[in-house]
Amino acid sequence: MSENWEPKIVTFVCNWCTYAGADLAGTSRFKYSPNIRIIKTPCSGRIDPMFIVAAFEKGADAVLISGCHPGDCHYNEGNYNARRKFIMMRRLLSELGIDNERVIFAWCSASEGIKFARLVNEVSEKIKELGPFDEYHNLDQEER
Amino acid sequence: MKELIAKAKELLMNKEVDLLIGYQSAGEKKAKPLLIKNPDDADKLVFNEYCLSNLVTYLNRPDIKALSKVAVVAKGCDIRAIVVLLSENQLVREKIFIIGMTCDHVMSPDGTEENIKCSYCKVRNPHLADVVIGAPIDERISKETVVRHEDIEEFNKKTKEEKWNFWKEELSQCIRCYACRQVCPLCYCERCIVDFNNPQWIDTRSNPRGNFAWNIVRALHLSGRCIDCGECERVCPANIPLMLLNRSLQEEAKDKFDWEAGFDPEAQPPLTTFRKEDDEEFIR
Amino acid sequence: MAEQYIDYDKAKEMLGNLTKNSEIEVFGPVKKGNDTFISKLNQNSELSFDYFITVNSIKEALLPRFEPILKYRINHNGVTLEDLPPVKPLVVFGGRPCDASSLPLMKKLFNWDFKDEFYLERLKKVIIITIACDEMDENCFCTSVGGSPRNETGSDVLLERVCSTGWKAKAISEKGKNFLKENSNFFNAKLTPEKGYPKIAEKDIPVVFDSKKIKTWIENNFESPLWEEFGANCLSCAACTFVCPTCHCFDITDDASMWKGVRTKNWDACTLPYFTKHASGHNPRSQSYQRYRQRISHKYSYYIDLFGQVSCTGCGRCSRVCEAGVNILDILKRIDKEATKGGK
Repeated sequence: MSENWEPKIVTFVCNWCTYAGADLAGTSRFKYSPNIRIIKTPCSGRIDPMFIVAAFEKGADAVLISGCHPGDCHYNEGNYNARRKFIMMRRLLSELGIDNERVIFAWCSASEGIKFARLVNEVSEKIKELGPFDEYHNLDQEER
Repeated sequence: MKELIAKAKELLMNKEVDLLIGYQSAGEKKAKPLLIKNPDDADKLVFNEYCLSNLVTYLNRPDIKALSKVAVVAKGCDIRAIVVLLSENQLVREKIFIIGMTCDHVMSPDGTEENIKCSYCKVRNPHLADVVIGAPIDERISKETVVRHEDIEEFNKKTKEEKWNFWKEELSQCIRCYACRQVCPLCYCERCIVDFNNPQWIDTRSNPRGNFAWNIVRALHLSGRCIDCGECERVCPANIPLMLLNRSLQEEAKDKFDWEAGFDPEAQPPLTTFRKEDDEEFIR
Repeated sequence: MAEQYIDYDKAKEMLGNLTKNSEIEVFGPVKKGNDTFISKLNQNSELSFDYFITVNSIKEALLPRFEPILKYRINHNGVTLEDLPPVKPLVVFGGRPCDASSLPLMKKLFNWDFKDEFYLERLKKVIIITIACDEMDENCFCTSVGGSPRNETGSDVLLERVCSTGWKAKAISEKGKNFLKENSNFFNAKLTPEKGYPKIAEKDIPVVFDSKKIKTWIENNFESPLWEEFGANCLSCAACTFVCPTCHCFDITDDASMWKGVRTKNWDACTLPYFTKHASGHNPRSQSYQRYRQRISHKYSYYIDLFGQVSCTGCGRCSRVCEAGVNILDILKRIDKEATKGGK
């Protein structure tokens, strides 16, 4: 690990709660670590588990996924459906030997700017401890 | 066997079905699928403990789907696949005629011992059929039994690193022939995600990266649906233990959603629904 | 030169020695489950010599499953092509004569209208050490397509079993002679030929069809309802083509990101449903039997038109690997029968 290494954390957030929460963190001038790359989706239910795989393939060291709290979904039940998908994805990843600490799920509402900032800081610290996800990145072999 | 042949002849002779899918002998201790339209060919039909194939997979083939009615010879475990297909609106019940076979066990693919899947089979007697052939067989375990797979338990004793290295080694041998997909009775997508190239979700190269992505998506698309027929693992020309992934997701579905696929065509599949009290300990 | 022998231990030692050299790629038989595979060897590979035939063919050594053919980087000055890794010399140990005899066939194709430098370069640098067949099963039919259990075509060195743990070596080509000379310290086992070896002779594998008749029948019976019967069980996976020593179809894919990209040659197969799908959505081979017909016709008719030879070595791998029970030998025998009967 080079000394200047900083983790890349791809962050999928829903449009209605967490994205607004992240926005609030910004407008309230809460400081949080710059390791995340936010990708906005309509709803946490839109987050296909393939997004996680694609993020790791493209160099992410961790994936952070966040949506509305249960009961708050703009589409009523998108986050409930997402939760079931994530349960399955987590089991599959742990079965494959992929550290579940590299895929983080959270609920974060539009008013929880401070929670968002804290969450990002905690996750960044954790991933800094774990180091780069070289195991996955090194799968991209061009030769046999 | 006589009863099966007679029934097949009757169905084909009376034009009740256009096609009958059953088993024929493929030499000593082997059987293979038999697709017949002519009643005279029904004499080739066999049924024994070497009839491993899950013939339900043929019901998804476009040319067979286009027929007006098809009869299929199915063991209890195969019928579970029909149940899933029905609950996902992929089959029309009236268009298939299920010849259910009572079955105590089938043999392992190498023909030497009882197949591992039979030790926790709950459907030795077909649970959905138009006609049942064979004497009723005592079920060894009840419907309520929570199945725990020894191989998964054993596998989960490994550390993260050991698991990762195990799968890296196994999956690097995948040649991406897609036999697992083609043989799976529940892989019916008209266009598989791996055949899309815009956007290209899955690397089509059979390098470790592409193989991981492919096997993750395959297992995940079967989560809460896999009926444990074991066909993917049996046909894999690289002998990759694919059922380890499938079975662990079956256990997860049972633990978290109290769900076992393939028993009730009316029940809502677990990943199309939710409960408010679903596990969310892992969510921060 | 005196006769040269090699036994299991020496063969293991030799291959282990060769794998130490990172400048060459070594392929050999490795057991997994009940089956043996020709795999790329590393220091930890556990070799196994007690097998009848490997599941896969040696094709993989010369035509990799995926192979970069172009690499580039983009920076502010424009696009720069990157050097591709050089083709390393190869040693392929443990194929059967039905594997090796595919190489001259494949050479014709890759040396045809377009010269595939990757394949040809590998072919130039490869040492093929074939083990003559000592067993057979009901799927073998090499003699019907001009092969034999001890066929030398395509091999550089042919090993013939003389006892339960060793072989007699015979150099077939100049390359093979040099290899035996360079590695003479491994080919000096003191073996006494045992009685009963080799276990099978050419006559044990009878000629069961006439490939000329089959070609004529295929030419005249493209629309025959029999094809539907032949391909009835096919589930359209690519297992048969990927284990076949002569199937060679490939696809070219691009994997590009903002600043770099690689173009790769990947295996593809005519049996896969999307192989012939047009951009319009039309698929001329939309049904599995049509794709299976293509596979047989290509091997037994079209290839002969182009290169004068049947593109099948009779190894029977496709039948062994097919769990849907499509058996190429049964189909060829049936075509032969039909052709004899119909006289066309």
